[in-house]
Amino acid sequence: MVEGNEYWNQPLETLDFDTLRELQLRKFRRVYQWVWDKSKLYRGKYEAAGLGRDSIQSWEDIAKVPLLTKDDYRCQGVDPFPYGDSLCVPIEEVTEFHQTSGTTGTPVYQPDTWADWEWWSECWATILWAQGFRPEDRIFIPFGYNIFVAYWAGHYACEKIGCEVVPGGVLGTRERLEKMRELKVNGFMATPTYVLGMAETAQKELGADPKEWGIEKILCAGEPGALISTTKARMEEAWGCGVRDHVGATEVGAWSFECRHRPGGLHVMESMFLVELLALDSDEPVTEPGIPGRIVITSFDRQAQPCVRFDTKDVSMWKDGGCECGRTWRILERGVHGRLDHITKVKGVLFSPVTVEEVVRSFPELEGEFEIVVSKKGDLDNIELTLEMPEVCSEEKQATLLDDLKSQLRFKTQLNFKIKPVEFGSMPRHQIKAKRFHDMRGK
Amino acid sequence: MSANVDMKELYAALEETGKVLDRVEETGGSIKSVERNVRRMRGTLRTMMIHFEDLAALEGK
Ligand SMILES: [Zn+2]
Repeated sequence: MVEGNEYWNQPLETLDFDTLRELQLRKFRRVYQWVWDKSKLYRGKYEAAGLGRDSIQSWEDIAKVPLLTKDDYRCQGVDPFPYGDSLCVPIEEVTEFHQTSGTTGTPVYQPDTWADWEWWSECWATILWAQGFRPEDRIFIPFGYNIFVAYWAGHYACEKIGCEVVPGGVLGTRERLEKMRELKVNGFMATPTYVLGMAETAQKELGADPKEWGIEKILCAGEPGALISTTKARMEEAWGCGVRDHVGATEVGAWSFECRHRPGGLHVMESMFLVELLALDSDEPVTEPGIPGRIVITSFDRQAQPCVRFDTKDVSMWKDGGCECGRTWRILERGVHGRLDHITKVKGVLFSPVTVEEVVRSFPELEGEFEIVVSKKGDLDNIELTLEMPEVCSEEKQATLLDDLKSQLRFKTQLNFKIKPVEFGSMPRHQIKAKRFHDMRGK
Repeated sequence: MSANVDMKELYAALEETGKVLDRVEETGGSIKSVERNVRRMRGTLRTMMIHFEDLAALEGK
C-alpha cells in the first residue's frame, strides 16, 4: 500500500485514465486558444493549416495541429526583442531569460513570467518529491547556474519542498567535494558523466570513498545515462545510494522523471504536459507499448512562450503496465533512447549511440571518456570508437580488453568498430550535455 | 476524488484568495512594494489554480 506521502500532488498523480484524458483535452484546448490569441507565430501556422480558434473539440482534432519545430523559432531576434512573434505576453511581464545550448542549431531564446517560474519549480518539486527528496534534506548542487536553464528550477524546487539547498557553482570539482563532505549533505544533482567524474576525483584526489559520506539520493539530468542500466549501476556503486533520472528541456519544461520505485523508464507528468509519440517515418500516433516513436510535447500551463506540439526529435516508446508507486502517469520505457537524427543507419544497420554507452559502461575498468565517429571512406561507412584506457593497464590486459569490447559491440550493434585506445584523462570532461556521437558523413 | 479533498471547495478557496489579493492591490497598490509583492503572490497562486481548476470542473461530472 503506497502512502499519501509518496506524492507531491496525490489527486493529479493518481487520476483514473478517463479523467486524466478529459483533463488533458481541456488543458490542450486552453493552451491552444492562448497561443492563438497571443502569438502571431502560432496563429499564422494554424490558419495556414485551415484551423480556427475553436477547432479543438476532440483528441482527433489535436492530431491536426501542426507540429512546432526549432526552426519555427527563427521568428525570434526582432521586436518584441528578442522573442519576436513567439512571445505570448507583454514584454514587461517577462522576468526570466534562458536559452537553449544550441547543440542542434541556433539557440532558442526562452522567456518566462514570474508565474512560469513558479510553474518550473512546481514541476521540479513533483519530480524531487517522487524521488524521495524531503524537507529534512540538505542538498548540494555542484553546478554553476547560468544562461542555460539547467538546475535553476532544481534549486527553487528544493526551497519549495523545504530542503536546505547549497549552491555549489564556481567551485572546482575538488572544492565541491570537500564542501559536500564538510556540510554532510545527503543528496545532490548532476549529469551522469559528472556524477562518475566526482566519484573518481574523490577517490583519486581526496583518497576518500564517497560511499561513506552518507549521500542518500542523486538526481540526474542532462544526459540519458541514469536509465542505462550499466551506467546507473556504476553511479550507485560509486556513491552507495539510489540514482534517479529526469528529463526536461528549455522550450518544454521538466516533463518526466524516474520515481524511486525504478519503473524502468520515465513517468510522464501527464497533468502538466501532453506527451505524444508519433511514428518514426510518418505523423501517425503510436499508442501501443513497445513501438518506437518520436516524442512530441505540449506544455499546458506555461504563459510567456509555451510549446504546443513541439517536435523534440527524441525517440522513446510506451511501457506496458504501471508502477509500484501507484502513479497513473504513463511510463516511457528506458526513457529517451536518443535523438532521431542520431538513430541512423550505419552500413545499412539501424544504430543508436546509446547502445555503445551501455556496452562501454558494462566494463568496470573502462571509467574514462569515449567518442563515436561515423565517417565515409569512398562508398563505405566507417565507425570508430575512441576511448580512454584504464590508468594502469598492461599491454596484454589492454589487448584482451579491446578484444572483448569489440566482440560485445559487434554482438549488440551488428557493427564492426574500429577502436582507438587513448591515454586515461586525455579526452575532455563534460559537466553538461556530453556530446559523444559525431556523424561526419556528408560533412 | 482521491486524498479526500473536495476539489470544488479547494478551488473556491483559491479564487477567494485571488479576490483578497485584488483588495490588497486596490488598497495599497500605489505602494510599489505592495504592488510587486502581490504580483509575485499571484504567480504562486496560479500554480495551484492550474492544478485544480479542471479537477473542480470535472468533479461530480
Ligand atoms: Zn513510479
